[in-house]
Amino acid sequence: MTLKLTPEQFSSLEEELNEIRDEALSDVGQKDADYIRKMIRLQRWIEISGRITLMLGFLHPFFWVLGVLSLALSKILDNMEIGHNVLHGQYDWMNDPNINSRHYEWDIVGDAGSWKRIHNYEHHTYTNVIGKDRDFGYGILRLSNDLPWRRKNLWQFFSYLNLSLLFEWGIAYHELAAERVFFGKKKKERVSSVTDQELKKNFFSKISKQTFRDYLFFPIIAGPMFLQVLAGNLIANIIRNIWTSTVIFCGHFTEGVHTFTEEQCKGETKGEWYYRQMLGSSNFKGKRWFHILTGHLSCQIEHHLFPDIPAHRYVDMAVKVEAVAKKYDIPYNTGSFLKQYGTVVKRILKYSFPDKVKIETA
Amino acid sequence: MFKVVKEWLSSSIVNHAKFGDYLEPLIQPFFPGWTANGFRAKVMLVRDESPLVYSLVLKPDRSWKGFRAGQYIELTVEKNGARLTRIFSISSNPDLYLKHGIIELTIRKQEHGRITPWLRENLKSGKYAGLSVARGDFVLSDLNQPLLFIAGGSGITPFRSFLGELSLSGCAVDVHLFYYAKHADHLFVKELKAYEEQITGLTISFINTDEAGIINEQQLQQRCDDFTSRKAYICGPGGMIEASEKILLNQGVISTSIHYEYFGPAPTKDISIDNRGEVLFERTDIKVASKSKTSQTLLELAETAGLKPITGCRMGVCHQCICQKKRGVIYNTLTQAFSDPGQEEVQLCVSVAVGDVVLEL
Repeated sequence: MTLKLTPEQFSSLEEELNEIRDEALSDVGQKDADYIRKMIRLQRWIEISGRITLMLGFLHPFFWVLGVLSLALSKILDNMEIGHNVLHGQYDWMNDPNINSRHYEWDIVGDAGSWKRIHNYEHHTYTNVIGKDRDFGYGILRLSNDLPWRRKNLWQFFSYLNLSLLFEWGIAYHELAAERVFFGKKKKERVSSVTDQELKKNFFSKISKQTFRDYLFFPIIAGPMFLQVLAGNLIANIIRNIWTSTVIFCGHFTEGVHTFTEEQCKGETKGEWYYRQMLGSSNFKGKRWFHILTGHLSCQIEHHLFPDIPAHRYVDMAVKVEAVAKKYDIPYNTGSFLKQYGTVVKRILKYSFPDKVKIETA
Repeated sequence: MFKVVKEWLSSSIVNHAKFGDYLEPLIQPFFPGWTANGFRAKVMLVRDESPLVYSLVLKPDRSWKGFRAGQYIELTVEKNGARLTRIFSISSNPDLYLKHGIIELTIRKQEHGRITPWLRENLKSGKYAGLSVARGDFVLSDLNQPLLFIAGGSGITPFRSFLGELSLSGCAVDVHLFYYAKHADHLFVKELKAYEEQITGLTISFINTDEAGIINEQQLQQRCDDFTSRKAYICGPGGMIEASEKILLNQGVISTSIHYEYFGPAPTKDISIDNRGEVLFERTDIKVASKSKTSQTLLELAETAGLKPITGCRMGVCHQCICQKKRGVIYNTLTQAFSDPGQEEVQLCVSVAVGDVVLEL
C-alpha cells in the first residue's frame, strides 16, 4: 500500500474513525435489539408462509412462483441481515443465546463455525492481502495482477458464473480447501485451530441437514407435490446464491478496490489498518429495503471498519465516514449498484487475459 | 435416543436446537407468558417496603413447578436490549403460590447496582420477566429440632418465607430468629411481630447494629443460651455469614448443622494460590496477564480484554458463561477446587486462572 498519509495523519484518521465508532457504540441498545427481533420475526413469517404457498402450487402455478420467491427472500434475510451480522457478534451484547455469534446457525449449507473462522478472522483481518485473504478471488478467479496469469483464467468468467450459482457450496467448502482437507499438499506455515477430522464432520453434518430439509423432508410432506416443492427449494437456494455472491463481489472486487501484500500490512497501526479497509472495500447506493436485502453489505466500507456494530447503523455512519475520507483525500469507492456490478464484470474479464504492460501495483 | 433424533430434526428443519427456539419470537407477541427455555412471570405489583427496599409481586406461568420455603430463583430481565440475570430468594410462602399463583421477591436497591435500582423503576405491573425453576437447599428439614435463624439486612427474605409457612402449619416449634439491621432498616417488622404471636415457640430478637454492633458471642449467649445446640440457618451479607459461622464453629457446632445462603461469588481473598500467569483467549488470539493480587475471574479478564462472552448471573449458577478450557488449571471459587489441567468446560464467572490457561474464546 502506498502510504499516502503521514504518520500523524494516520493517527488522526484513527482517532476520527474511533470517534465515529464510539458514538455509535454508546447508542447501541434497545432499538438495535428491537430491530433484529423484528427482522427475525419478519424472516420467519416469510419462510413459513413461503413453504406453505409452495405446496399450494397445485391450485395455480402463481402460488408456486410466490412460494419460491418468498422462500428465496427468507433465505436472503436469514443469511444477510440476520445470520451474517449475528455471526459477526454485532448482537452478542444482547445476551440472548438465540441471537448470539456462538450459537447462531444459518440457512445455508456452510457450517457457521467454519465461516466464522475463515471470514471473521482471515478475511476481516487481512482484507485483500494477497496470499492471506482467501476471499480475494476464492482461489478460483484472478482479479489483480498480483497473481500470475494462467490458462484457466481465460474462461474464468464462466467459473465466476458457476461460483455464483453454487455460492453456498463454495462457502461450505472454503475452509476445507484452505486446509487441503481432501486434496492438495498441506501448507507448512498454516496453523489450524480445528483438526481435519472435525472439519469433515461439521462439513458433512451441516450439508446433510440442509439437503435433508430442502430436498427430502419438505418435498415428502408435500406428498403429490414432491417434485414441485423440491424444484422450488432448489430454485430458491439458487436465487439466494446469485444474490449473495453478487452483493459480495460488489463489496470487494469493483474496479477501484486495492490489493495489498503481506509486507505492506506487517506491523501496521490501527490507523493504517482502517486505511487499508477503506481502500479494500466498496459501497453501493440504494433504498432502505435494498440495504436490508444486502444485509447492509452495501455499506461494505463501514462494515469493514466497524464489523461488530449493528449493521443497520452503517447507512447513517457512512455519511460521516465519507466526510472523513474526503478530508484525508482517501478514495471512497461508491456508486449505483449497476455501475459497481459493471466494474466487477469488467475486472473479471480484464484479468482473464495476461497483462499487456506490467503496471505498478497501486 | 429420541432426544438425539428430535434435536437433529429441529437443527435440520429450523436451524435451532429446539423448534421452540425458532418459534418463540412468533409466539411471544400473542402469548407473552410462554417461552421455549425456562419460564416467564407477569409482574402484578411493585411494592415499596422501605425507601431502599421493594417487593416484586410476580405471577409465574402455570407451567412453573413451584418452590419450597427458603429457595431462590434467577430473574432475567431485558435492560436496554440486553438480558441480565440476578438471583433472589423468594420472600413469600409456598401457600400463597398454591392458592393464588403468586410469589414475592424482596429486593434491596444496591448502591451503584446495575439492576436492582433499575428494576424498581422499570418493571411495571403487566410486564413480563424470565424466571428459572426454584433452586437451593436452604430449606427446613427437621422442625422437631431447636433452630437458630440469623438474618442480616435484606437477608430476612428466606426467613419471611419460612415463618409464613410455619404460621400456617400451626405446629409448635422452637425457633429463635436474630434479625440484624441498621437503625430503622428492619423489614416486615409488623408482619414478623404478628408471626411471633401466632407461632408457638418463636422468639425474634430485632438487633440494631448501629447500637449493638455486628454479631458477637455474648449477644447470642444473652438472648439464647442454648444457641450452640441449635441447627443454624444464616442468610445475609458475606461478612456477617463468615462472622456467624466462625462464632458457631468456635463454640463447637459441627459444620453440618450450619446452613447458609450466600449471594455473590465466594470471596477469593483467603485462597493462597499463585495465580500469576497468562490467559490466552484462543479464538481472538488475545493474551492477558492475570495478576496475583487482584484474583480476577476469567470473566473479568475476558471483559477487560474487550471480549463479550455470554454472561448471566455472574456467580456460577446459570451456566450461561460456560466456555471450553483448552488447557491449564483453574480454581473454582464456588466449589473451592482446582481443575484438571486438560480440556473441559468451565464457568468463567467463578474461575480464577492458576498459571497459564488457554480458553476457546
